[in-house]
Amino acid sequence: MAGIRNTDQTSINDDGNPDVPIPVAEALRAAHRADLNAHPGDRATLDAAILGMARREIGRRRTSSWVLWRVGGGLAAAASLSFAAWALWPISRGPSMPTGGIATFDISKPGGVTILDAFALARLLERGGGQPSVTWDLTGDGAIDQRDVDAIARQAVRLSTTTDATRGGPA
Amino acid sequence: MPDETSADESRSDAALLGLAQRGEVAAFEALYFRHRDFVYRLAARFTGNHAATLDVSQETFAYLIKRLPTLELTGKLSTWLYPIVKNIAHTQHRKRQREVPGLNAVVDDPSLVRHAGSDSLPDQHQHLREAVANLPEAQREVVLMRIVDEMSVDEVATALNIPIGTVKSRLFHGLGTLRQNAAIKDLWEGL
Repeated sequence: MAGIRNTDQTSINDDGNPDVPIPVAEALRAAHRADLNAHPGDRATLDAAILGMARREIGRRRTSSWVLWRVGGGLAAAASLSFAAWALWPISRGPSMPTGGIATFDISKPGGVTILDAFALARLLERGGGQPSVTWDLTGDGAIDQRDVDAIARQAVRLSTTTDATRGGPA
Repeated sequence: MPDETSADESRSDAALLGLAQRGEVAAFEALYFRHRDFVYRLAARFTGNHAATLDVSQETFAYLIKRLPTLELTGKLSTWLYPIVKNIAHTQHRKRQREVPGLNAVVDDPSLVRHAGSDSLPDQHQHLREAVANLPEAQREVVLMRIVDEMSVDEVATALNIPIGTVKSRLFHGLGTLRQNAAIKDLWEGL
């Protein structure tokens, strides 16, 4: 350790402090020695307790990060998919084609929302016509817009529903 | 005690901490084994008995695990561990005092507590130990940190959150007092 031991001399020089002879330093260490290795059973118990806690806590945090990464990735994928559907899905093939300009949508239907519902709302918004039912307002902000499309997409991912086009749809 | 891998040995405390924060349990294990004996020795100095020393050691590392996600370290982990061990030891001692009224206040001065095996020390070493125990607390602390814990002046300053000049001043006066102690004069002069 710099400044504490000089093997060429008999004393320890520490930045202007009085020299401390190595025998004094060694005597001080001996006088204050407390060796855990003298208690192997207790040492093992301490090691097991701490390392076990570390594996649980650090491992758990790592798993949480992994799950967040995967879910985040899934959300990103769902959002991308809803955007792509909104841009590309032909109106004539929309499974949830609203009629009369009014789309009603039952988000409590069996199986919950699907990504196709997100597509349907996206197409409705693109057309700019009609007045979606208030049930489309998933964000509860009083407006039905792209944020609701995204919310439907997120819910669809969370529920991990199928893409059965025969399910649900606006009445 | 498992040996650190050669890769871990070359990594600094800060590097190992970073890996542990990213979920590398092996990195934390390397940190633990690197500092376990230091924590135990320090806890023993503050508590004076083996059972309390184990408690403090366990609490210290448990606290480190809890604080791991937000801990920022630029130097050695020992500078962070030192005040933690000290505070946990003092907290536990105050708690024991409340539970056991009349607990000898002398225990607060750990230098006066004999550890197992200390009675077998040579006389001069006993004199040295007593001489250190009689130093003012601030001087005693830096002397022990510098000599027994082999911490650099910078590390002592960081651990105690005091200026480097203050550390040097306390060391100067503490070591000067020891040098003047007739009981350990021979030891000091290397005879």
